[in-house]
Amino acid sequence: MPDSQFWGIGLPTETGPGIRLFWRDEQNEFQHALLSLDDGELMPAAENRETEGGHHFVHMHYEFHAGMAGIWFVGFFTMIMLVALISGIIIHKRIFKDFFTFRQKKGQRSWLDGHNASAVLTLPFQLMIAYTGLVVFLSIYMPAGVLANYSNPQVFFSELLDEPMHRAETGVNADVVDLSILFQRAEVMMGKPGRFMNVEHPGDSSAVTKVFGWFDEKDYEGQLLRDEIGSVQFDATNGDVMHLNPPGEYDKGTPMASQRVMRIMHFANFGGYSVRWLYFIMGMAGALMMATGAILFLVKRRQKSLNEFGSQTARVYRVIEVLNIAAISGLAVACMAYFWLNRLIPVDIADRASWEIKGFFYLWLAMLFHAACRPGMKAWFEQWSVFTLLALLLPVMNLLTTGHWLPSYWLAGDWSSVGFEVTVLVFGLMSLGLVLFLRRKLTAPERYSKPAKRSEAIS
Amino acid sequence: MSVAMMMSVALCYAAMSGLSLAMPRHLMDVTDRRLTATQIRVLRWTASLVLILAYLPMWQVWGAGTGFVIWVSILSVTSVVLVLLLSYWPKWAVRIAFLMMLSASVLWLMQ
Repeated sequence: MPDSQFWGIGLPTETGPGIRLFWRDEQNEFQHALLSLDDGELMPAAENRETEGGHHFVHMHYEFHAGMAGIWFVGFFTMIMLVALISGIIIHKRIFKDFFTFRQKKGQRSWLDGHNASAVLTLPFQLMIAYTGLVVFLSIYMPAGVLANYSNPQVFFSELLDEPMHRAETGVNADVVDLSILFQRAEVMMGKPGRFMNVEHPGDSSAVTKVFGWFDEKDYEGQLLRDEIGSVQFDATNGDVMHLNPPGEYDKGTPMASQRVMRIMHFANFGGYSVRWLYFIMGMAGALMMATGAILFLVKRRQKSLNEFGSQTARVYRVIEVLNIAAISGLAVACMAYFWLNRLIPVDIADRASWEIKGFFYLWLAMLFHAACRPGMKAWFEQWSVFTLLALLLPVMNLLTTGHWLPSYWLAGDWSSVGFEVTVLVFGLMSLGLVLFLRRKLTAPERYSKPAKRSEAIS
Repeated sequence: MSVAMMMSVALCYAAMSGLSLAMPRHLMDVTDRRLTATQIRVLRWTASLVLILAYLPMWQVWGAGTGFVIWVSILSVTSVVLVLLLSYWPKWAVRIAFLMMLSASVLWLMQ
């Protein structure tokens, strides 16, 4: 860590017991470690399993583990989602008549109903989440306004936020003053305890340190425009105060406040777990909307080919089918397998977190190959079977590797683990139902396709 | 989940099921009875009123803005549940609606 350009230190919190360290290594990569509270030593690997955990899903959903390119990639498709949502509303002629309608087991009709119902009923959420997702990266997706007026965007942001600019490295050596004194001074200036401190360019005369105030998620519950947590920035070479951002009401002007509200709505940071559960269900409805829409496209064309691609039509439909399977059941399998990797990859392996991510993508790729090699219905059936097994056996594997299971989590009052186990089981059971349905369809295609057609003739 | 949240969930579900039963095609799945035009209008207005009532506890606890966001979210989620019930177990969809209305009243009286 001595050559680090940037490092930070976090005090223990409720969910993260121990002192958290963060730094950028020589390759400018982010690293982190956890120190024991008792003796200040590094926590052993067994207690501090290096894992990407849930961050994998968060990072994937906005940058696809591909940095700036990934952010643009996701932004492009989010824009398409907005276009699809709005054009979907316009072409849906019976929004209010079909508001509560879902006719099951009626082939194409059911896919359309499922697509409509999941989208229409959760429409406010789908529009909000796509739009606010774009707004989070406002300055990346729409840089023209700033670039046209400022040669350096940093000048714009320092003016906008009324904060000092980032200091470039000078190459002149300078010692960092005693940080513990600065930490205490910051606590006095903010009038509240500190939680996190970072240092940029230590050892250089441009060194800057910043102390952030303590916050409890609960203090901000119900606030769509969250109060500032407070922070103080010092010149780390002499202890001069560079900037004080007092805790309390947010006062960076209306445009920044609007963006802040949208960020908070996107991150579901305003209502604790009950709101996160509501978001989760509506998010799942969104996934269902996309999956049913993609499947409907092919179901419709299987009834009557539209010959959009001339002589290649059948081949293109097959490619779309393979992609559908990989994107829907394949992705589900990869997500569930990721939780297995989290437990199964050896603890002492180097770069463990990156192996988890690699494993996820390799498995997803394997599902794509599988879908390409098998006939459509069989591929669906097999991939959902794998998903069912992975989901229903995950608690068993967890019991074998950690010794914990539902009742022990319950007794320990570990509610997030209880929630996770139950959710995984629910998904496993739903998928089991789907697998049984698909099996009946595979073994007796006659019996199931006929009534579907008859009812379609009636409706 | 807080009492206010339970109250809002119950009222949202009851209101949406009222609105769905005001449509003949959904009523058909539940009962052989037919409603007159006036009955349908009364049902629709009552359900709309209950819908607005569902916002009040959220407003009280979370404030107008945050409360609105959470109210819309609850509305979406309860509607999804309702549509699934209406499709697979229509009779239970209605029984649960009455149960929800009842429990909302009990919760309100207990306060």
